[in-house]
Amino acid sequence: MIYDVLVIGGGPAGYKAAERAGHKGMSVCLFEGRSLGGVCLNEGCVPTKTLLYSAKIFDYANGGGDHYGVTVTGAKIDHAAVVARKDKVVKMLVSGVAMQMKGAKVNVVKAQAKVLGKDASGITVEANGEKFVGKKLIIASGSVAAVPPIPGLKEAVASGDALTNREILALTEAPKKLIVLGGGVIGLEMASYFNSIGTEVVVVEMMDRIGGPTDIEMSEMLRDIYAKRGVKFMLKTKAVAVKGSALTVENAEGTSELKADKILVAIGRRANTADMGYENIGLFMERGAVKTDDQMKTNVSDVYAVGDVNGKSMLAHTAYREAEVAVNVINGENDTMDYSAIPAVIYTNPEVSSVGETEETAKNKGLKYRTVKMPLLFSGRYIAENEGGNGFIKLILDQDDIVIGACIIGNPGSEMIFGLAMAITRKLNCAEISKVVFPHPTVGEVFRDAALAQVK
Amino acid sequence: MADFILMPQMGVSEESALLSEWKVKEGDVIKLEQPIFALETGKSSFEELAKYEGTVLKILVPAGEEVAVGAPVAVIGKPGEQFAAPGAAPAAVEAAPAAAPAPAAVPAPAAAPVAGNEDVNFILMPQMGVSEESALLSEWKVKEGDVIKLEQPIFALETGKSSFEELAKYEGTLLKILVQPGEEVAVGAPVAVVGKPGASFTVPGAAPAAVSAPAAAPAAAVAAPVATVAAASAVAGDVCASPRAKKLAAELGLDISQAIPTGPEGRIIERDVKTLKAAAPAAVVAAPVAATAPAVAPAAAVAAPAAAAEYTEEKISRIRKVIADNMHKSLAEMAQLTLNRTFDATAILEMRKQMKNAPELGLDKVTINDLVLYAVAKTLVEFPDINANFIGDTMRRFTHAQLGVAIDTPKGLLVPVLRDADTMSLKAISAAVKDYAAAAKDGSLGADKMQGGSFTVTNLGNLGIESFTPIINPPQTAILGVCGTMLRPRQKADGSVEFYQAMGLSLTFDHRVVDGAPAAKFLKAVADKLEKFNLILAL
Amino acid sequence: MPKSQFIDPAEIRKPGVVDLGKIELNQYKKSFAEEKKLYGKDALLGIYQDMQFIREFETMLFQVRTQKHYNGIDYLYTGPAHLYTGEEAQAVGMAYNLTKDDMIFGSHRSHGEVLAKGFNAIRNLPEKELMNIMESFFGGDLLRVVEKYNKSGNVRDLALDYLLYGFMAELFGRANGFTRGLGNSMHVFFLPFGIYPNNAIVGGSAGISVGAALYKKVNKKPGMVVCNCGDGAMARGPVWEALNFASMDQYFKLWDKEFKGGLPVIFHCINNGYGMGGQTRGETMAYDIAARIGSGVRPDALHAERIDGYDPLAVIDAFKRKREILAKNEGPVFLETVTYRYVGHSATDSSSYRTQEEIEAWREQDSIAAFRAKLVKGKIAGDDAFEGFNADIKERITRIMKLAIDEQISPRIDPANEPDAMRKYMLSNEHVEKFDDRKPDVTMPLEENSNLKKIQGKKRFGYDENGKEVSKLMAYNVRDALFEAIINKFYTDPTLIAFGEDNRDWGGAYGVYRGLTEAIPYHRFFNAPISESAIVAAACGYALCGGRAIPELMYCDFLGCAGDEVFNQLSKWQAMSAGVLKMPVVLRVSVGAKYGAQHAQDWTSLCAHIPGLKVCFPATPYDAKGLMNAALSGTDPVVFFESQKLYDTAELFHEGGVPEGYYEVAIGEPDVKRVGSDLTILSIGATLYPAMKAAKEMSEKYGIETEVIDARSLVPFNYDKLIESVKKTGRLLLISDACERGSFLNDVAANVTRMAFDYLDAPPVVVGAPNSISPCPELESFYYPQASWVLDAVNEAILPLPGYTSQMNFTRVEKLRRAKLGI
Repeated sequence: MIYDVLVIGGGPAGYKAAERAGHKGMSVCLFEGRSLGGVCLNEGCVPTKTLLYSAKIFDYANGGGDHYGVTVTGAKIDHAAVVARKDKVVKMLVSGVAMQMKGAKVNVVKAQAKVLGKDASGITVEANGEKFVGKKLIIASGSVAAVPPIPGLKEAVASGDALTNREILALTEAPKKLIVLGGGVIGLEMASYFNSIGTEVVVVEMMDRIGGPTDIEMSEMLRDIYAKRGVKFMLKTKAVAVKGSALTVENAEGTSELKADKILVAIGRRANTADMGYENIGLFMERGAVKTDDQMKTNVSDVYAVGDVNGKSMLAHTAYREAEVAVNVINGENDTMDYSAIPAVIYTNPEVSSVGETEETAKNKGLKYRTVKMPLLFSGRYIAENEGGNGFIKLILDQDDIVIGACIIGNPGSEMIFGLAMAITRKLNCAEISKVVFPHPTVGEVFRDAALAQVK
Repeated sequence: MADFILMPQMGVSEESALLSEWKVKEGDVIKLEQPIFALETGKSSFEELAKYEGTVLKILVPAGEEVAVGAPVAVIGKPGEQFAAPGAAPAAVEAAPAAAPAPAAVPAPAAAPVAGNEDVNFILMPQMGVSEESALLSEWKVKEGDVIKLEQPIFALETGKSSFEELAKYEGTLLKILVQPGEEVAVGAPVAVVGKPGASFTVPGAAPAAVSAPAAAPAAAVAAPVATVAAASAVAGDVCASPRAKKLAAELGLDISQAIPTGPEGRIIERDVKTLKAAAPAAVVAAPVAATAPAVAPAAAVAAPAAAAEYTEEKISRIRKVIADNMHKSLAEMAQLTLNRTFDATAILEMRKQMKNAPELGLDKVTINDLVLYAVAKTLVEFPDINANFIGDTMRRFTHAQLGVAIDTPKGLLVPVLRDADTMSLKAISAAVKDYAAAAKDGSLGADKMQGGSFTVTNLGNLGIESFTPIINPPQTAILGVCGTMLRPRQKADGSVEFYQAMGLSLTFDHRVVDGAPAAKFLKAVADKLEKFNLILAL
Repeated sequence: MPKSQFIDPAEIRKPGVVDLGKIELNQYKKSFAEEKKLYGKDALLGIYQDMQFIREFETMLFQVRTQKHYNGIDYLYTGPAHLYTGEEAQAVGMAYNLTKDDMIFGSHRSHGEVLAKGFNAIRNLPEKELMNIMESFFGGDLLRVVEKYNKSGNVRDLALDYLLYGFMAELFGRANGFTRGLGNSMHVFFLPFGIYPNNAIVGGSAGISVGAALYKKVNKKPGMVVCNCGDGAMARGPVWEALNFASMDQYFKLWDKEFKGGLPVIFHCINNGYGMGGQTRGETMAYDIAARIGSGVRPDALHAERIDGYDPLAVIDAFKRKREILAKNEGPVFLETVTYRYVGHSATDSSSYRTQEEIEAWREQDSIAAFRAKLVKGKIAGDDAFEGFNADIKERITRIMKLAIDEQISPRIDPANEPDAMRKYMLSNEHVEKFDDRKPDVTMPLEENSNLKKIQGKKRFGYDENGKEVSKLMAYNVRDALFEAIINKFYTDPTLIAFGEDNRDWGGAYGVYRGLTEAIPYHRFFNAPISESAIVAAACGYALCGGRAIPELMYCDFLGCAGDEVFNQLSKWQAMSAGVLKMPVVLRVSVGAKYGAQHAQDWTSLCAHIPGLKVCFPATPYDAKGLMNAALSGTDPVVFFESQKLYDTAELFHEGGVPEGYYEVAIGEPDVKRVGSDLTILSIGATLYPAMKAAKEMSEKYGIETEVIDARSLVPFNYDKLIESVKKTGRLLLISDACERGSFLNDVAANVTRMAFDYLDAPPVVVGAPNSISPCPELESFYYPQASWVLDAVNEAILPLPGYTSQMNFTRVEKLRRAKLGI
């Protein structure tokens, strides 16, 4: 048979695309060589959240509750049990995805797919030695952890001294000392977890900041908070060599060697395009990622690329939306992807959430903007639940007082950020936001207060 | 299965052609490529060859007629086969095969014969300019019973821009004049019937719809056979706007046509959509009072009996959509309450009579409505909460009366604003309203003319309405409906009863910001002024 | 302008006469006995077979072109067929003594030369080398086909099949052709056998051959270059330019001892009496005897003589003697070989311009028949043997032809399934630091260079610590940037040469090369004659041999003088060779100003239109150095535009100034020079500055923040940044000094409109020079786009500026009016 749509990859981009296409009545075949759910479900977003939640409970029990008049003695955290629970959660979600695929009548082929070519009948893909033909192809082959060409690192990964996000989540015994190579989202979340459970953590970062492109003020506040909790940050520091689990670094102070039990490689991710046969259809790639337009079309007609593989945003929620756009476009609906309001969260404690422009990006783009900053202490709820907390919200407004960017440091920022994303997407100005009734008492009220303060 | 022979497209720009001669007759068996009729365009003559084989079942268009390109001119099929002529009586519908060249989709010629009208031709109101939608039939040059020759002048017509004479396109006896001189007729609507003496015919559509001069005339007047009137539906493409502006408007769910263009070449650009978004709803063009006008014409006027379908669907116009939205919004958001009362109209009727007899003063065109507007304007400045807009939590009270006047147009209701009406003379008000009415009808009324009103007057009086509930045009706080006059008895001081002309007034106000008593006081003040109209002329 | 040579009025004004000396005509007189002794039986029979091969090959082509079949095989050939029939003897004679180091270049009528040189190579190369060539060329694709059908076990026999197959496959447009079927009949060549490009432009090979000879001389490579061209080509200016370029006095008088002497090239004028239908002697030419041309070029008359091209042995003899002249560095040589073609100029020529008697007269003296008769008479072989040769040749050609026309065995390239099949060869995009590892010839250590030292004293950023502009003389400028990049490459790549008008002592017309003369010897850096065609063609020939060259055109306007060389040669050979050739040439072109209609035009768009060229136009010192470095490390022809308005311009954008060390700016990446949110301006070249000025004014007066993007390169061009910017601002104005009609910017505008349509708040507007001549300097503000024009265009067509009154007219109606008038 000739499928309406072939989907390569069963991660958030792939399964969402398959599910949407299936529900629209298309015949769909999805290829996944590993486990459905992709990095997000198996090795990324969700498993880390289970770990971090355990850590949060432990933090409260382990002295963190004192401020609130709750004292617990003898609190312990069992890393192996935490990992076991994580596995249970992952299993449940993965089987949920499988059910979704079934519900959408998607044929799931559990094998790595390779693109063979394209002709008048469609695109041919090979998996398990069998050929499949589809009128459309959605590429969602995701990304893999980038392992930089640092001498010795490859060997260390092979020997298990160095780990990527995949391996560290399977670690049943907590290392006593952990070097985190890369102060981005993955690095910080894992640093946070292991810091909570008592591991000595050093974060080595090449840039002068942690948290990647997030708001610089938040980045610095987060670093202060974790530095106080004992995480050591080495900024503007370059990793130059790995030997076993020892790392040689170089910075302004010179070269030194750091010793640890494990090294976590969290330097970034790169699109997974190797050995996929993409060259057989002449797919255009830039810096290893498949180039797409805002309808997720590639340079080859009938071939779409969604999720990490197009290198645009590398976030699961971006992938979901991209998948929808691709399927809608395939279905003849007019839909385009808007990257202006993609929320990003670092699930540390406190959470750092952001969406849209930061001060830095707005400035670099030459936008006419102004910044409004308001402490979360304006919220009674925040005071009640965040003893000693000093979080804030920051809005980036354009000349018409329309929100074009926002960020929050503080809990539960991750649950509030969508509201700010809505404001950006719908181009709401402060006056309009201030007309919305927010529930009281909530932390989110600060958002409204910040907006209201701008209305003359 | 019957096939329709259609008028072919002979050139890129031809829209119609003259069917000059039939080479076959009904009942003939025709072969492929056989000449079936001759036609002429402005540029040349042609012969149309048969594309189907079969028997000529019916010739739909007699020789000598101009037929729109794509319109059916004959039917070919098996002898005795049932077929549905385009626009035929519903009875024939069931025979219309799906694969037939979908007659419903074919733009039927303006003169598409109505069943039973084979022997007659309808003279239609011609299109005199690209943008004209109707014209005034000013004079008949022939009368019923006259025998008409080709090219003979048959009537005179006027558009907003010029006057023309229509020449006869058909020969025959003028059987019936459908439209009287002085009536405004939609383009393409039949105005007379020509044919053999004694021929029977059915007039397509309702009685030829006349648009009479008064502003508040029923909108139904312009209804015309569906086949001849282009729908005034508005799509975004009508609007000159940048792609970016269109995109933004679509994202924000705004009607881009409401934006005021500030871009080059009159283009709506992004900032105009932003302005539109930021603007108070007052910026929106149309007034919700439309709902109260009988713009929704009786079915009889809209129905197109010639069509086989039992109903027709047509995208509502842009203006209509705005009206619909605003009306709903107005009712949904405000606490509206209507007060009704009458006043003694003797004074203004007398005044009107005197003025009518004073053309030398240029007052003969002043209407009752003008007198009401004058009085209302003078009253408004005394009631700041009624001469006001209510925006968010702010009352915007106007120094002068910014008086909205509801004007009915074929496309819907428009409400231009008389600026500082309280400072205007009666004559000036009258002239301004006439200018607005004309502009509203020909579509030249700019959006800026319709913004910033503080109060609105709408008049249904000449339609015999006794009282009604006008709907406020937000963010205004009130609206006055003017009703018709009726004879009312009244006891005189001496106990005797007399009848006088009482005119109704219906004031709807927003009870959120105006209380009942002040509203009633306002209404009373208006009534008082109208009853002593000659005195207020001094104000 | 060397100071070492004195133009002495006493000598110049002295009376006297020029003795042009004698030019010999057809003086070959060896007896058959001498010849038999000289060559031996096998060689003589070989000469016969080579000629017969050529004749049969052309017969085949003629038949499939005109009669759609050959020897019982049906095939329709629709391509060009400029046949060699009648001219075989001189080709075989020409090639007879050439070695694999000798290169031949040819014309549209060169099938015979390709075959003759090929036969010669097959006969003379070691078998192992032959096998290596066949195995490595195109990964052995061609070899695999012929191997399957040739089981002789004889490498030379196999190689013969290989040559015929590669050639025929090329003719018939097959992927197994020597240039993948992309070159075709008039462009066949095969480098491993020393067969260099044949050229469909009459005389096109002359300048390229000179460049190849220059390559041999400068890089001390063995061998010589034969430029085969026709008598018709002698009417072409570029051929005369090439003759002079190859023979300049400076080789003899100024170049270092080891490089002294004219270039090792033989201009071989194959005179068949006609240039297409024009009879050269008697009608279209003035020379009477083509060999006379030599006398007009050099005192040694280029050792010219006329050879009887109907006697292969006479031609062999002449080439042998001339090669000795070249070996003594006394070249170049001009040879006229008389011959005759029996068939028309091409398959559609009915020979209406000549009589049948004339053709018959030549046929009666047919070189192959005569040579055969001579051999029969000299008892080298009997008639039977010749009939046998002929039959074998026909059989072999038939056999190979079957392979070459078989759709399965010899398919065409497949653009349907490989969309880039043709495009992919247009640019090679390689990065080569140097083309040879030997030590570059220079005359002093780099750090001692006087200009470099001077530059080192300059401020490398145009603003000082307080944000004040550095004075012009103290600031590092575009000229310095180009100099740094170029001199650095001279010290890195030993093959690099640079030449152009007034390059050396003058220091380049605009001073870019000041200080280069003291460091670089003549043979790497010299003044070219005022011969734009030869300048570009020589660079082209130099590069396709494997060296890197920087030719220079003093003014953009002179691109027309080198039109063929830039638009047909430089740009096309990489693709016509299916990627076999590389073209590492950086053609420096200065865009003038102040010099009126023929010295002040921006013709970047012309170059951008031609596929196969990279086009750069930097506007700042940082970009100039980075782009020049990139251009000088690539393998593609780069037309490098430099604005005369900007040579003195300091670096005002790149904070930290222009790095002293080596860096590259990728060709094709535009650069955001100013960020903004309301309007995007894309500028090319010098218009960056009026664009910046306009941006400043719009910001100050109207609060409009403009993003200014400097295109830097036209081809390639990465649209990503531009699209991203337009998505942000919604408005695009494009500006360049090129005349607006046909400006490359219209292309960009159309592409942006397509790629960001929904984001546009106004149509992209192109601001260029009026479609007029460039005027006198006083009127230039009405010709080159000014900052005020930007405001005018914005106000009229993009975003009305409150209270602004336009000076220049950008209305739609005006545009219509001008278009209608053609102005």
